[in-house]
Amino acid sequence: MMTQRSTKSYGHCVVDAVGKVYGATEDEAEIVLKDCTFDVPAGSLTVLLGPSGCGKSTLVNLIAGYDKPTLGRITLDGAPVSAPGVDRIVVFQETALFPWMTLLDNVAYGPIQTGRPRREAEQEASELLRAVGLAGFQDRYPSQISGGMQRRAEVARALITRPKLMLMDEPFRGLDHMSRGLMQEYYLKLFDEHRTTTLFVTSEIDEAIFLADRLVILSYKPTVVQTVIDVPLPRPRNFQMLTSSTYGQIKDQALGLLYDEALKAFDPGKAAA
Amino acid sequence: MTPLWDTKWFLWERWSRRLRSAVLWQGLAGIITFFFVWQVARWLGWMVIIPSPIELAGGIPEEISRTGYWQNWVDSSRRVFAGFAVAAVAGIVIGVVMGMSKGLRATIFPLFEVMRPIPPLAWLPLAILFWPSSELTMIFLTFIGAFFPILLNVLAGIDKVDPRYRLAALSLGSSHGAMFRRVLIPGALPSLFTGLAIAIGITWEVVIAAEMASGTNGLGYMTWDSYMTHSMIGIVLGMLSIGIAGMASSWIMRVVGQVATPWQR
Ligand SMILES: Nc1ncnc2c1ncn2[C@@H]1O[C@H](COP(=O)(O)OP(=O)(O)OP(=O)(O)O)[C@@H](O)[C@H]1O
Ligand SMILES: [Mg+2]
Repeated sequence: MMTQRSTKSYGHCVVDAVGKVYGATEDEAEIVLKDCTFDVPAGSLTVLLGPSGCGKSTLVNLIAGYDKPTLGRITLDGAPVSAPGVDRIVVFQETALFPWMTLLDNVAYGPIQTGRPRREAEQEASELLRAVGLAGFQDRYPSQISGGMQRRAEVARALITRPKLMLMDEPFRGLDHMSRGLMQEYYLKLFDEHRTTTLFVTSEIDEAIFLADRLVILSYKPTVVQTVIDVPLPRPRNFQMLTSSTYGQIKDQALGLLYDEALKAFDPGKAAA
Repeated sequence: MTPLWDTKWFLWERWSRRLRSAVLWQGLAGIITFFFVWQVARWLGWMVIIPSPIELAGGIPEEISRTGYWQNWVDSSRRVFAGFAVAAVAGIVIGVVMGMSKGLRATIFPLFEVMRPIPPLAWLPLAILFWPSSELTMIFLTFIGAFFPILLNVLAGIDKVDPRYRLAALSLGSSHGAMFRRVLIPGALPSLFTGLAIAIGITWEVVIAAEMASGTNGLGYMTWDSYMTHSMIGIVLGMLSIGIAGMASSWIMRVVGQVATPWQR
């Protein structure tokens, strides 16, 4: 496993002193990201952890190329990011499967667009859907399956394009506790097989530590990177590790930082003072 | 209990539930009560000019068997269909173009905003003068009636397509053509069918009025002609026929819409 990991040499993403201001006029201006610097090492699962509303989705949009940073720059394997491209894929916060396509068509859409023969693309889509446990559902529409199944189908739609970098924006938010745990395990298994460089966004601390190779902890608005913590837990991971002492230390450290920021989120006046 | 038996039992259960469903019987009860009250009113000697349901039931078969009754259906339907079809094609093409290009939209929209509030029948005098036949005049009016609701709903549909679908499509490497055919169009379809359903209702209203004003056949003309010849049964039959025609058209639009957007259940 570890050797396989080191062979993935692409997907290294650098976010360098990035700032983002929304609003056209000076009155409306809202500084969301002030100064964010971190990188996502190739082949790693880097988790972005921060309080709700701090600008995590904003960062994802910038890296995906859907929007441009006000300051700073973002590179992927050394090349500046300026527009959306097939080397990066986003799994959105709420499902963004095309409602008018069956699961098979959804998953096969990407490869067909990039020139793979339809038959081949559908073959692979079908295999991937089986791999995420949706074998019997490929002819269903997204509205005809559960929320957890939709999340898995969307992960399959992202994986099939073999992106250099996968951006997962709170993909399991809104699922109940039980399905969430199962989805995390499921997702980790997929990650161990594919080792696609991933930036995984969450506001759940347990999810963050359970999944991460490294944790990037954000402050509240105007947002800066507070700390980067490496998570030295071995892979494959299992839920027993949640009780290990390494886990406990990391959680204590992260909780301390997050708690202060979460307080500011509830009392913005104090943050400014 | 084999699975097959289970399925059959389930289907039977579903049917029998539908038959027992209150909605069905309430609808029927409403219609029956309506005719019953009408009949009682006649028995009490009210509304003497209007034929009673029993008189209608006696007179309508004869009226229907008269030559030309079914031809009136054909004539009106042809006008509705022609005007509606042209409006649908024009509304969809122009709507999509306006939805894709901000510049064209800014150019065309104000013009349409001025024309839209003009009721279709206000076009009648101009249309009579302009078009060489009354047939074309009537088709033109139904076109005007159907065009704007279709156009506006296509536009709204394209605007409403969730931006995340466009972004996801971009990251998945969509060409311009695919973005259009596989994302924007299907995304706008539900709204398009809303527009078509509204439009088909309007075309019937317009065609009836146009036939009364300038036609020589069709259900609208038949109703008006019955008035001229003092045939009460003809008038009521004309109205009933128009109601049924409009209802059937809306129903067909709904079914077509459901078939075309199978993901919406
Ligand atoms: N298009 C926009 N225009 C103006 N302000 C925006 C825009 N998008 C986001 N913001 C602002 O940026 C801030 C951060 O939003 P963002 O969605 O990135 O937060 P988040 O960390 O993803 O939150 P959550 O955990 O709730 O998803 C919000 O306070 C919001 O007001
Ligand atoms: Mg977010």
